[in-house]
Amino acid sequence: MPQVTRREFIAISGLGIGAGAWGASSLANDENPLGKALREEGVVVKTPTYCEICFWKCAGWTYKDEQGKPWKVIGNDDDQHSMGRFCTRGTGGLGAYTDDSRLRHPLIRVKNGDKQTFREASWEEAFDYIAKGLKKIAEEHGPEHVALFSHGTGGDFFKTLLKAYGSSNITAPSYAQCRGARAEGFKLTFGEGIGSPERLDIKNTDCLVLMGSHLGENLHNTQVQEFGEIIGKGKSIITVDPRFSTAAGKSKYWLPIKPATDIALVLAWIHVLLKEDIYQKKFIAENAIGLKELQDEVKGYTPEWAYPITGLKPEDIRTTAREMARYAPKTIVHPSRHVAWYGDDTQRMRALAILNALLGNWGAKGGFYFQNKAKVPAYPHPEFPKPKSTWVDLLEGKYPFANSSPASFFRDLALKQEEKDPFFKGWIIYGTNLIQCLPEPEKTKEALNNLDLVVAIDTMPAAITGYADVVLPECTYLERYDDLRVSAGRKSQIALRAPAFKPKYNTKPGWWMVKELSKKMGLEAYFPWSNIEEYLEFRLGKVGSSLAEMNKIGVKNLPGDNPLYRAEGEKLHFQTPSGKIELYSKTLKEAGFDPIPKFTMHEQPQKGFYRLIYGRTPAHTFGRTINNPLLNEIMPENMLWVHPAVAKEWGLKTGQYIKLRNQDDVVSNKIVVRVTERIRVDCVYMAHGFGHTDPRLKRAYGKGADDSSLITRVKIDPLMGATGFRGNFVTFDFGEGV
Amino acid sequence: MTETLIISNKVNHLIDPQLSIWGWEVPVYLFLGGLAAGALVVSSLVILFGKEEQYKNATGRLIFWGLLFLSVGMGALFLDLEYKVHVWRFYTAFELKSPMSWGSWILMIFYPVSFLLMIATSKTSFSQLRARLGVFDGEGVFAKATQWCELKKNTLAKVGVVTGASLGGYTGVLLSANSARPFWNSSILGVLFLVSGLSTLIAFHLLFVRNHEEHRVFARIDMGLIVFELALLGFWVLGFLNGSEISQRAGHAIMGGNYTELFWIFVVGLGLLTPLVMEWLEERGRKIPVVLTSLLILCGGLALRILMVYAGQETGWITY
Amino acid sequence: MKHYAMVIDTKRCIGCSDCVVACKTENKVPEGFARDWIVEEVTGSFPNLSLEYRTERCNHCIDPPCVTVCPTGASHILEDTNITLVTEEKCTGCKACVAACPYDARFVMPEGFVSKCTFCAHRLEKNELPACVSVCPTHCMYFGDLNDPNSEVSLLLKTRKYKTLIPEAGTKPSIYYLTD
Repeated sequence: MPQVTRREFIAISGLGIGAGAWGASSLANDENPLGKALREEGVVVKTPTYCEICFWKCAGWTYKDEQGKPWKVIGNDDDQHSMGRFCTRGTGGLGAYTDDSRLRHPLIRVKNGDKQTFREASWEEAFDYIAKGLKKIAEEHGPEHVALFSHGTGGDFFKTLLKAYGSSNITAPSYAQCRGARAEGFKLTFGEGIGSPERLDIKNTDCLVLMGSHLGENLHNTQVQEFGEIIGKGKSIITVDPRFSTAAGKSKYWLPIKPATDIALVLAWIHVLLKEDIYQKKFIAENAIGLKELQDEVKGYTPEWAYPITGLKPEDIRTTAREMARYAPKTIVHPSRHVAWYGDDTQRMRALAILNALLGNWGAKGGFYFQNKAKVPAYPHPEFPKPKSTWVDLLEGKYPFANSSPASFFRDLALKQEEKDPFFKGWIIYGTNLIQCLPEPEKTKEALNNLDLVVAIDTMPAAITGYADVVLPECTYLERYDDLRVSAGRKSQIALRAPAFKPKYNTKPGWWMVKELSKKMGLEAYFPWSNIEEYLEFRLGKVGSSLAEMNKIGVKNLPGDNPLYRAEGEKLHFQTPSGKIELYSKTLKEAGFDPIPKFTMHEQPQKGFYRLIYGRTPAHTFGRTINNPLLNEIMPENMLWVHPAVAKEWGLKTGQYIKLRNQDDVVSNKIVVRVTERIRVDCVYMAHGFGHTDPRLKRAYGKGADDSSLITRVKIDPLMGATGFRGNFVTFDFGEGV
Repeated sequence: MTETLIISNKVNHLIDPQLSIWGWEVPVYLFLGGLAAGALVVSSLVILFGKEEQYKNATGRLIFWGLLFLSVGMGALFLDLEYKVHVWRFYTAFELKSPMSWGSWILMIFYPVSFLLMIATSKTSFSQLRARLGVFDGEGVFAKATQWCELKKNTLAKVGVVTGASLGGYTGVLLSANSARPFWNSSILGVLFLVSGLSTLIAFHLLFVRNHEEHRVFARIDMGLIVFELALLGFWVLGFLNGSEISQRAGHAIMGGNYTELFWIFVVGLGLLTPLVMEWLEERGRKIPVVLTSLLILCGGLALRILMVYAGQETGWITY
Repeated sequence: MKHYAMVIDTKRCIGCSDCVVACKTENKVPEGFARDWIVEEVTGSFPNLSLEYRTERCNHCIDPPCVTVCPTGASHILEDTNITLVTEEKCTGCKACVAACPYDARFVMPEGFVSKCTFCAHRLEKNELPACVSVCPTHCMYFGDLNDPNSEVSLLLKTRKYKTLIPEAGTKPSIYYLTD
């Protein structure tokens, strides 16, 4: 393996990229229906798929038009995630295929004099390179010194490969960066998490409370559709947000909370429910422990106590608490999804779990329903070797409630710590742009420098691929088979993804890469199927279906569904140590943490600084879709929301560009200002995912600002390692280029 | 406070962020079309008033210039078409309610009428050329046709007045028929453009007039036209001031907005008031360079059309 | 005669632009052009605010000025309906219709002819809803025949408050926005 001393970021490869000008032109208007009222009826072909533009994985159909050209992607009516309608991003999924910035060939990093560059390689060469590198690490250090970062469906095959290789150090940014704290907060309270897609019976609820969820701006399809339904029915919606979010615009009550004070509000709500005796008493008496302790704890947390903290009027806190109680148990306090905020996130999620418990909505219609999940047997393979150590050992007792591995902890294990050599020697990165999704990107870059082997598998030249030794270009989800979608929901349902188009360029499906790599690594026994069709046929056969059938119907409901709601008087069992809902957690107490959540005041911005808040936009999934030609058109760059009073103070006008500087003097890319009443005066807001730094992303490069580049003060949750992203404050920078 | 914005990034070429479908080609066409219309109207009136002998340069030659102006103008218009190979489609349909359809058919009448009038007045206008070509006199087909033209001269001139006035008015109606663009949506525009076309044509004609008496007559007519045009512009501005909110917003373009200077200084000041004063002083016996007066009027006429076309596109009902 | 109309519930609309993308793929609208778009309107001042999202497009007016001004008949009304269409082969690209539209709904295609929303006439003939309506995740869009008193759109307009855009322009637009 050529020794590379510093791993330089390679932005432009002289080879391969840019060859062949196939692109959005295939969407050009060669068959415009204008004037011809009727498009001539030809043979339109549709192929089943499930979407990979986000993690919701809605099932649908990929259409080719009468000329056999890629046309559109439409939801499958039988799918419980999409209910026949794809969201903006899913509808724009075709753009992932047509994007001319895609990775086209396997790339290997080479030294060219002083400069490092990528050279186009054959798959054979790329696999040899990786197999050799992995073998070397295994021999010199042990296979557990290789980690896999994975996000997306195709990553599952790589997980199998890594386990077969001898490492169980597998992580996903979705845990510590996103919903891990929610999983643990609910597990500590109810004995289990609420899954993804979440088990929320929104369509039957009478009162939906959104706190940290900006449903409508995030397009979690099923929930958005059910949200629309309850708006239509005029149900009560309460939104807590420092911003007048889309959801706030649909709400009966909007509580424009001062950022970082959420726990105080939840405790005050709990106080009101208990004080006014309006919680679900029977349900709590039968199913929960620790009510007395909770009552004692929240005694002092009156709305008057919360007022100066949250900036919310006591009567508003009382009114909304009563509103929740009025509709309970058909009230849902949505625990939201990206919850890694301030370092006390598991406790905040605990507080929300307790609030939900008091509303008695667990297993209730219009509350948290009981999910069904299809049981589809796995393809059998030999037992994996037992790794010498796992990430749990590496944690050395840190984050005692982490049930998955925190990705930034993995990152830190590739850094020199107290003169110790970095633990990780090799990273395999599947479908996740670590530069943008982990906080403190400079640390990530340093970690990448320390590694002996970095492999990136992606469809797009995301910044992370510029730091890899080998880049494996995957074909998009529209060009490949993947494993079945077996996700929990109201029904036990499976979905098939089949290729609608031939892979463009020299790209390949993940399953094929893994299969070929396994041969090079002598691990082919773990992949005893000859191709994916055989693999799928086997699994489908076990549940009485077949590839032929699934190609026709796309999704299938399997029999044996359990009821979604608890029956009248049904005794519930919870997988907590006590078997009950734990309002008071002995487990936490014993581990030295607060058994009932407490409010701690977080740092507030100094004069001239504003808390940086960020969120989702309906047109994009994180930074992954910014270059998608269809979605880029809808939103090519983000805007910085600034309250008119702040704008006046700084002389800012809508439409002008500005940069942001955080308290560590990190300066963002330029971003266009939007002066709007829709935000508080003490914070600014931008949509996440923009400000791409890789010029290979033709449309996305340099457009808008990247919030994560400004996140240098990470607040780690001591319970499970969540990386709180909201500890940074920014001020305006009128420097170069604005 | 209301904040209104398009959030799906609509960036249709020539439409967003504001309408810019018509560039220099259209005002140039409207200006030259106005001159051509003026040429046909003025020359026809000269014939009808029996002044053909007196104002030799004001009939056939003026019509010739008119045809030239119109042809160049139509060339500009052609350049503006986005689908040029479909240009013939104008003449496979007559759309009763479409000003542009009327316009394209008026053009089709304009050419033969102008041509026939040129022949009808060729004895006075192009006597030397006629003599040299020879075919217009004697017994040939051309000669017979020429005789017919000369016989029907007055009828042709009547048709000429109507055709010319229609063309001149049409250049304004083309814009004013758009209720979608409040800046244009005034019935004054048709008359205004006709009057401006006549005035600019006379200014052009004055450049070639050597006869003092002829100069005095045409300059007087021009002064009248300029006064009339000023009055029309006054009514037009009053229409904005007294109009609905949307109308007032449109009027802002020339009253505080981006086109204030162009309108008040170039169109009204230099294009109308200054030459009016100059013509008046000349009338009072002062020596005024006619080239300057005429150029100011011509530039003012062009400026008026540039203002109309550009400012009109910037106004609309929607503000986002 | 059918009076096709779209009724859009602004209470439900979240401004997600799904309709815009669905239109683009269904109708193969080239990159850089849009037949429909989303408007956001914020009224009031913090914290007393209201928010309206509207998906906008050609209004398929009953008195369409774009059809009136067209010199060639390219811009026309589909027989027995109120759907305004452009016949590509007849269009000269004179842009008179573009100027005549108070909604700025029309645009010029790279080839030179004018284009805009067709209410997905090619889908209606197959008894399918317009692409934008059929994809809307909040089900805020309704489509139907206002001449049928029992159609969903007719019933909605009978029972809900609504507005149209720029009624003062006198074009009698066929897109209705439910406002409460």
